[in-house]
Amino acid sequence: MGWTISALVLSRHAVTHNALAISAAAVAFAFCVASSVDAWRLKQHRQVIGFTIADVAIGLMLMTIDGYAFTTGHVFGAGQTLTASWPMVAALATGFSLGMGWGAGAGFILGLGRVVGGYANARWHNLGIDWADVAAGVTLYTASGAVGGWVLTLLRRSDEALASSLAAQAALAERHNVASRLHDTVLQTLAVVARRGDDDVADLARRTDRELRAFLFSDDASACELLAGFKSVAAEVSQRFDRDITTSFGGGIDDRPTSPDARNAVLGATREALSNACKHAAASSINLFAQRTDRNGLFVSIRDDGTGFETGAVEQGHGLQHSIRERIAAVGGTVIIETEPGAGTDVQMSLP
Amino acid sequence: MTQTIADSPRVAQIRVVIADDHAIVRAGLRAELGDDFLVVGEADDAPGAIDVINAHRPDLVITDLHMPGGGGIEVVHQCATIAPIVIFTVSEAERDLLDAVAAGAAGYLLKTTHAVELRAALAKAAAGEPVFSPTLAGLVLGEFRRLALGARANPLSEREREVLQLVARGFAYAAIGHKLGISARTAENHVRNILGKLHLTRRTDLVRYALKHGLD
Repeated sequence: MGWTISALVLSRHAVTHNALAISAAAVAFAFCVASSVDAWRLKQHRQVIGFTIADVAIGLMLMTIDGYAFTTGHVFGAGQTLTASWPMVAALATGFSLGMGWGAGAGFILGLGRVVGGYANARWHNLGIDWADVAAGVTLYTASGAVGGWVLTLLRRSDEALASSLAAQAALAERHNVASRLHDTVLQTLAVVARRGDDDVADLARRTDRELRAFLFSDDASACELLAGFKSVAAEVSQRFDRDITTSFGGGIDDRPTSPDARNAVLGATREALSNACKHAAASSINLFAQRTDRNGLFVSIRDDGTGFETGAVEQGHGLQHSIRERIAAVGGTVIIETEPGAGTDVQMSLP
Repeated sequence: MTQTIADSPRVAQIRVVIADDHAIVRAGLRAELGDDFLVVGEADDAPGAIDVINAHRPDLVITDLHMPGGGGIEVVHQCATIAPIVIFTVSEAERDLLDAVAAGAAGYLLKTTHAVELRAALAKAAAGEPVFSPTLAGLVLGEFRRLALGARANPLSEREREVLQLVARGFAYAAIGHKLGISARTAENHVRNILGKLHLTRRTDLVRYALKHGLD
């Protein structure tokens, strides 16, 4: 708006119809004040269709009056005119509030205003119309309306993307919230019930505790971390055989990346050894332990206090040969099995 | 009339304060502790626990880790010199255990510990022995490995490391003693020394960190 007034002042020598130009500027000024007051009152810019249309209409009026109010050839000259900024802003505003198509339409209409203005100016002063300039004007306004709409569409899209990623984050946070709630309340209660003796209820509490922990772990068992893999294998076997498995891990298991082959071999062998302990050992306790060794190797022990077995005699039947020894050997590791009848079994796997 | 010693009031009852923000946990513990223990006070947050402990001077404190007003660690900070404090929690997080030991907790037991084991462990703690759930031994082992890797000499002896690894693998002290040709008592002493070292190194670490970063 300020631009229009200063344009009027700067180019006053060229104005032939003072009253017309000043009243046009006054209308535009009034609109500016009205919409600013409205925006200020509502503390936000209202993208109301009425305002947009009025905006375009005023732009169109300025365009047309431009032709009448200025001296010869001014429309096609280099001097400042009433239209210098308003119609452009109107086209952009339409694009912003109504989208690309409408923005382009408004720009086109404003461009036509320039045609009328130019024609009037030419007729008034008996000059030819510079059609190239008129065409450029129409194109410019149409394009600016379209670009306004396009930019806003892009902004909206990234806004939506942001909103949906925020929503995903919120959902994740909510999940963690629920998990920690369960941890703080349900697990506490289950632990109390589970400790209170060895009847069916305590048993049920332990099982529920296991299921809940399996669920909580499965949630953050991210794809390639070994520690999470151990936890989820232990939880899975524990749930499948309805047996307690205690786990103990030295820190730093994931300090160093483990190759997918080694990871699969170790977790597969661990699953097999834990399943054996559950199925065959008649053990009262089953323990999984893993730690990094000094040179960043890996040591895993699956120990039970069950029946044990004669080395050699049962090994084949236990699937030890194939499932555990071969798997670990394939990734360059070794397996030691310490067992004797009545003294439990300790499967120890070492990887370099 | 004569009166035998056995008829006199129970001499060896351990006076206990329980701090936990879940009423059901406190009620459960009270019921499980049995006749060897006498609950002299309860609290449901850290400031309350500190008041109760100062008022009753118990033989043992059993506290939850996550409570309003600073939690179990704050209780340990304020009251570790008054009585042995055992953290009783569902948290198996490495940080929680290490922070508790660094603060000076006498023990760290998971709430899933069976009642019989729990009573035995608490009696030991009251007698000044460190107790913690075997499943957490691995974490201590990992912490010492990290210290060793961090260009500082490994503060654990070979024997201590062996003992700790066996604890982490679920062996009882008797079995560890048998395996290593030492007594169960010696095996337990090793664990006590290990926790003492961890307490010291963690404290030293914290002080070093504080000096370096200009904190107090």
